[in-house]
Amino acid sequence: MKILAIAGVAPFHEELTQDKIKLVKKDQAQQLVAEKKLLKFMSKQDRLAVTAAHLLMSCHPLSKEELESQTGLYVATGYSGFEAPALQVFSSKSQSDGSFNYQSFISHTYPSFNPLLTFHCLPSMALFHCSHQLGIRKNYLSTYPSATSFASILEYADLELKTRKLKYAIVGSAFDANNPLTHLVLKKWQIAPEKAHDTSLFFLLSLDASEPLAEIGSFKHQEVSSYTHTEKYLGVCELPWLMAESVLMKKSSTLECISPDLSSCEIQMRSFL
Amino acid sequence: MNRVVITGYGVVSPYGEGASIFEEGLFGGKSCIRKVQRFSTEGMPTQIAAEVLDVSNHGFKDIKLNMAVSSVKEALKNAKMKEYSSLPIYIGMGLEIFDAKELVEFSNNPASANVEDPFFLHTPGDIAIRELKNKLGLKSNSLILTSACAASTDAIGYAYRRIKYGQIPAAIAGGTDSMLNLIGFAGFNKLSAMSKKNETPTQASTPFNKGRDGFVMGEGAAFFVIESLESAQSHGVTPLAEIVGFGNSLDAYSPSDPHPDGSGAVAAMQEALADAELSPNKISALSAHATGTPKNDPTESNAIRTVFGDHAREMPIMASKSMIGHLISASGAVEIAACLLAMARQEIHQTLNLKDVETGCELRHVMGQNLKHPIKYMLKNSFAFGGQNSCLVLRNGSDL
Repeated sequence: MKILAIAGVAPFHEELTQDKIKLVKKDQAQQLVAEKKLLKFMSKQDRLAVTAAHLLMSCHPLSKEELESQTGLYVATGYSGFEAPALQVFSSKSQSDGSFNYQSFISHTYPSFNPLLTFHCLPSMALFHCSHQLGIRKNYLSTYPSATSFASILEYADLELKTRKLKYAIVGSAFDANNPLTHLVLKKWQIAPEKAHDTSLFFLLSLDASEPLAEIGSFKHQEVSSYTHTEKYLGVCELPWLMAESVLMKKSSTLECISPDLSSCEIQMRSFL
Repeated sequence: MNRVVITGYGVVSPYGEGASIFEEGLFGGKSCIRKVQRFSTEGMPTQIAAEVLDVSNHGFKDIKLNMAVSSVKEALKNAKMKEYSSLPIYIGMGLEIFDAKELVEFSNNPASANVEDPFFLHTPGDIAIRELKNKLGLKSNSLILTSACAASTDAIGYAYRRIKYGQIPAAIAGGTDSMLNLIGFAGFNKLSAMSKKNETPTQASTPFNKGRDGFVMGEGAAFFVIESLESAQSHGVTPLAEIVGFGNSLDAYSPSDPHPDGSGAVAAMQEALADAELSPNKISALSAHATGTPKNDPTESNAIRTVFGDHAREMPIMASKSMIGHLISASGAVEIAACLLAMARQEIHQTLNLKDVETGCELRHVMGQNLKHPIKYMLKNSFAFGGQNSCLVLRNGSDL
């Protein structure tokens, strides 16, 4: 399986624009959403994903027909994007004498409960927004929240390209590092919040390409006995960034990621840059 | 390519724990929708649901995990799997939700969160998988599918494709979900998607009927042992069914509504049939997604008529949500369990409460009583919030 283009929102890298690779800084994320009326339905994670998907298409444009009927979409996201202000409002309005109180909840919180919050929390919404913004209507897979989840959908995209009538696969990931749920999980794994970074990264893949950026070889899954996180925590985007760095550093290498669920994955990469 | 079979399954449904209780309730025409008992719903427009009130406690606070453990254990037992630690597990699962009481405590005192306790909130996916694998003694690859109401059908389809193309010999796949907690239920109330027939709960879920006013929330789990035919034969188990086709597609239309022309649903059904190498008239019966919402039912009906043409008049429709409600991420898996029962019994259960078919929803509905019907192939539809469409074709295992 060949990598044709790479794009995303960089966690701590500088901007980078070169042939078939585009990385932007986080503050540009919202501006790249094509259909503004859907912005209110998007969590930060969704915006990160949509930005990466649009950037990918600016690197390697596909026609409407190619997107609609020859492209599969495979997306991995981080934990649900519960928003701190909404949770604070819920908490402050739903309590009495320091404890949860149903009467307070139903009288004060429920009437002001924003139905859009449900959309912001659904992990499948990144898939929807990317499909809608780009017009992708063929096969898909949506998963969360670990680095090995990304490896699984990458491997599945390879199978889909080989066995479905697909010419392209867009495989991407998005991670919101700064929300209350992510912070709680980071605390469990003893990761300081400042080590985690918002990011997204999408790849355009195909079995055949005349000038690919890189080639992805075999996959190997296994269980491990313990989990140790990397210095800069990128959650579900950890493996995608290892892949991007491998391409940029013009290396052929075996990349390994381990997830908190004690699963690990190795993939073989060969850069053609 | 391998032939792919189901050799065991387990179910936790609003009827209770176990496939036999599920069969008795569903084919007995019994609704399990009632006023919510787990938490107060006073003041909310919708106050009814299909709760699981009796499930074994496997040590988890999160009911999703208790239901998953019970149904996986039942599936492994039925599949006569003695050595299963290397089986991967693929799960369609709903999102994590904060417990309201804990959220207030945590907000008032963030340091109070006991992060070493894996149950400090309704469990995030990677922690959930780790705990499930520990409890079940599984030591292999896992994946959570998050395509909402299509998630567990996608999980089963994912396992099917990996086995079919020789990547793995066998897997556990299915789904577990519960949104029946205060925050989740309040959120869906605010979306105005659920039935408000609080005074007549057993008559509230009315797929395809005139006057339907939304779906009824349910919870549950179903898991399947799925293996290559060769793997099944090697340990002497008789397959219950064969999975012969899988297709999925995206509407790319709306965050909440189905594409009005039903083209995404049509594409997924057609891809599943093509994968099965079957013409539409070979399908004996169809288990519809059939949520009972004003928009979904006519769109699905139209899509079924588009795919099946005249055969749609002959092919009976099964709509299990009329009795068990909408089990969200677990709905596909639990309704696939209903398909296995239908094929074993050669019987389609009635669509409870369907008395006056809505204009646009005309199909061969099973009304008033169950229908004895020869079933060789059955198609299952699962369509999700956000426009994910997932369809599976099953073949009766009796002649395998």
